[in-house]
Amino acid sequence: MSHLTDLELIDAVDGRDDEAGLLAPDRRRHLDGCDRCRERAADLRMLITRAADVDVPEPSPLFWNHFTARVRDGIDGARPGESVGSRWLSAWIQQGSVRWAAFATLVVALMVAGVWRISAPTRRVGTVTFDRGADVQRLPSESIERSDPDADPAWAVVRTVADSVKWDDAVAGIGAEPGAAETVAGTLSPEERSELVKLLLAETKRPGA
Amino acid sequence: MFSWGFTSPHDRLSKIMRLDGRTSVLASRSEIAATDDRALVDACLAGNRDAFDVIVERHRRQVYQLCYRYVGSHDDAADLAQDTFIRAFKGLGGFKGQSTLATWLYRIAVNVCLNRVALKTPRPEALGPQDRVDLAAERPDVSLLREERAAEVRAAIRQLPPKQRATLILRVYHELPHEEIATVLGSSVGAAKANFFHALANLKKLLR
Repeated sequence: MSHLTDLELIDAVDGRDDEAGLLAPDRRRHLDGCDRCRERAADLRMLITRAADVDVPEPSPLFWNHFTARVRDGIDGARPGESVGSRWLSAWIQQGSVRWAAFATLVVALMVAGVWRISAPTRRVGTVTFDRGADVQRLPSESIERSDPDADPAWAVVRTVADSVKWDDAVAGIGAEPGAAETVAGTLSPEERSELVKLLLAETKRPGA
Repeated sequence: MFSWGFTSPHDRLSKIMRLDGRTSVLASRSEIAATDDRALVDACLAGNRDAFDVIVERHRRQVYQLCYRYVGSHDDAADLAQDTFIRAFKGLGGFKGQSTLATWLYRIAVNVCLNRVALKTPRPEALGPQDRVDLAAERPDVSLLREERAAEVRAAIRQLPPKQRATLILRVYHELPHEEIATVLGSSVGAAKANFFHALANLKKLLR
């Protein structure tokens, strides 16, 4: 008969009263008659006894007096079970619908940028009208200084789009409703859609996009 | 002293909750201390902070000892035990009574310890003589020898892999059955037994 396995040895040496009899009778008989298994079991018992004899140094009574107060301070202002709410929030964020909403928002942003490019009166490089009503001098794109973002027409686009977005809505992630991208795409003419596809493809292939 | 002997859990909770009412002092701290963990949890969820104090006082030593055996440092163990109770309080709504409150607290404590071990290597430190309570008046040489051997075992346990360490501590010192250890560690019963076996085998190597 084969020797006891590791788990059978654990059953043999460490069974408490309520776990007695975990070792099958035939395995128990093997243990009784096998020197090797008995030696291994004795080794394990000795280790358990040696470990069990080690106490934890008792802290001072002062420590215990302060401990409950420390815990009380730690939970000051908290409510029992509040982490359950956190779990709900976490679960909600992990829901697929939220991810899809974020993805739809990204697509809409790309489409808005694409539509703006299509509908721009000229493939203008430098003429941008700001809120303050002042025309900015036409500048070749190469001459736009990074230290002056107001002179960058791309930045003007971002500002225009951002002006229509409420901060609270953006934070809450409700800037665009699910399905909004499809709705917008449905209003485009075939030519516009074709142009939009080209633009999106160009945008996605652009380095750094 | 007030006796809970023939009252239902609902009655007990009602009486405990009177602590919150400013017109009645029927339930004293000692009366709360006499009630069971489940009723204390209910009282705590209903807003009775004193009930949680009783839970802390009832289980703090066991939780501290578990943490101490895990990290081998009084300061770290104190922090971990405190963190365990704070997390327990915040997650009290998740205690469904399927296990004992002690087992539930051990589960939190083990997770807190596992997370701490993952973040940093604990630095074992011995308690200063002023921090200890000399429970047994032994001859100094006997006491020293015993303490040296205990320190060897504690150091060896701290060198065990995290889950083996947790299994050994829960089994040997807290006498949890393998089924409960499996619940605490989120593993199967077989894995808990295998962890225990390997913990003992590694302990043997380390103590040679």
